[in-house]
Amino acid sequence: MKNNRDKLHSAFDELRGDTLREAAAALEAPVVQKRNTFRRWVGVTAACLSAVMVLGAVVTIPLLSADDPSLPDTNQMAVSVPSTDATLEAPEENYPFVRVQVLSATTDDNGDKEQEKEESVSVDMEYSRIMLTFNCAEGETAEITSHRTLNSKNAVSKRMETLLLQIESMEFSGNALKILERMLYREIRTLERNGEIETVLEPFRVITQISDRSFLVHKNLFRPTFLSDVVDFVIRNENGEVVGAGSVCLAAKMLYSSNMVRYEILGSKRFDAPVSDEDAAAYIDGLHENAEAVIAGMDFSPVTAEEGYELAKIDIIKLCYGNGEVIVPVDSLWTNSASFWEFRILKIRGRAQDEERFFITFPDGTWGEISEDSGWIYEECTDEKCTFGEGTHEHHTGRTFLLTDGRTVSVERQVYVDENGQSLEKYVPVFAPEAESA
Amino acid sequence: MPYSNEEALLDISIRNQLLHRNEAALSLVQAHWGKLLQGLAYRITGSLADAEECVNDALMDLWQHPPTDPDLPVLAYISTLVRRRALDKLRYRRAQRRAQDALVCPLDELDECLSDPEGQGEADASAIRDALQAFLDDLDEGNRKIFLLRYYAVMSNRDVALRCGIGERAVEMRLNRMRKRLRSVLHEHGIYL
Repeated sequence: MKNNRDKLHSAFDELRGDTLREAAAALEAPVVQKRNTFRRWVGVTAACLSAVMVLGAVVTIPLLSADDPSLPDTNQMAVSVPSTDATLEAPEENYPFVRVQVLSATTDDNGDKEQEKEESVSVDMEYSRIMLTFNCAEGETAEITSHRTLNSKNAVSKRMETLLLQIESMEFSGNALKILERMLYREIRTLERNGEIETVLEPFRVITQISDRSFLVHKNLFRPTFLSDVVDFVIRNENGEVVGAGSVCLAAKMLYSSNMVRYEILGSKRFDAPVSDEDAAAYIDGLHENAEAVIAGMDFSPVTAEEGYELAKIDIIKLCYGNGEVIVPVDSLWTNSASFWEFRILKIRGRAQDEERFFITFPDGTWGEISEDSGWIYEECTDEKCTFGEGTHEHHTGRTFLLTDGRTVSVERQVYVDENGQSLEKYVPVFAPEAESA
Repeated sequence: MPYSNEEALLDISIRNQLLHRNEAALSLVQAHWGKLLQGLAYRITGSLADAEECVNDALMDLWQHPPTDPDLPVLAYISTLVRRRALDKLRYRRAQRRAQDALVCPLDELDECLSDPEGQGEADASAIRDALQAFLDDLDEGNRKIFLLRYYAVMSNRDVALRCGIGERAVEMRLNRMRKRLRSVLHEHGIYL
């Protein structure tokens, strides 16, 4: 039975037709405020500094001001580095200041009010949005001169599109669902063997049976797995002359529900004197010669826990694919989103209601399939100073999983004090020594 | 509400194809509004996988129960289907969740309009709907748009502000006043939830 909250939420669906129509129109309404994209020319004044909320890794390049004390200081932040360390070494030339930030594009919210004060350029790469922010000297402006895609993602998409259109034009009986799925999966495996895709694409609900003779094929589930772009920019003084130029290389590897984004600044130079547009273009062209090698050398090892969990999920999906299961991954029953779990539990549903497989995944991308689960062990808390409960209370302190490969992993509760003096708890996986697991 | 020729033609095309059991109608819906619908589901559920599942299920619902009201645009109809599926998914997840609930949904703000959100009051669904409709009818167009974007489309305050051309703080203040007003309207209709 619905509670009061649910009743109120559901009431919105029962509103009058004209109100629902108004709601739908509002849903489609464009933003009123102008937003700059990579396709537009962007002017950025030196007075605008961004303190955009960082949802991913941020690398800043310090602005060399040895010869020009009027140039502003940079924001020196200690951050994790997704790209090669060479990018952070002291550059041989003076760099116009360009900051690259990786945000999530799964929502429209860029997440920071201060972005409204500044015009920045955003590049969308599937689930991620990459912001390029320029900090120039007074009177200078930054312009994006080019943004182009390097890899052949369209070719992969077109092949899948062609196959799907062929399937849709077929006459088939109600039992053709399995045949259709096998055809699609065979094509996916062919693409994998040819190296055109690197990972299994999201396979669940590939085909939904609508009637005895009709099927809905979810075309939007098939996407390329690797994207790479190059974004070029110039810096102009107040006279419109080019005083700096550079190029940024972006690459995104598809995960299950996000991207792994890596970036590298191919080059960024402040010229000793203004140069022509042609000379700036020649400088940028020279930077591009290295782009393919830079992309090939990018390190896509997981650097965040989320990336590790997503990599593990892909491995698990591949495994289940091999057994012909229909994959509907149910991410993580009681460990998703909360930061104090240092592992996650993933459930894969099969076709039948009782077909389920459970896996444990770790932030480094490793994983194991669970064969036995002890459940939680509860212990009464004897710590008089405990801040996690009031009066007499219990903590779930342990849980043990036996994996199909023979390993045993236990979950242990740990309490620690952070830098603010606040007590926090976390649940960490601990592997039993191999002798005990055997 | 103005409806462009292009939108009207699309609507007619989809309805005709549904009527003649041509599944290309679903492909059309997906192509034109798939991203928008998935965004709506994602804002409610907070999970991309759940959002995709909700949109898929809503397409199935659309196929099995095509819209019959000629004055209700297909987008409005399927938005309702997606929203309903997403709310069901959200309730299911919350019931299943054992760890601390870190999910904060804009819909949680509506708890301020209720005395006992978890309780099961006697008011029936039609009475609540009528009260909500009366509250919305009383609002001017601008405020109604803000309220629907926040609690129907489940958008962030920032996105609401961007679509209405006002500041985020102004959105927060208006929503705060409107929630208090909604609570009063519910009481005026004898609904104590």
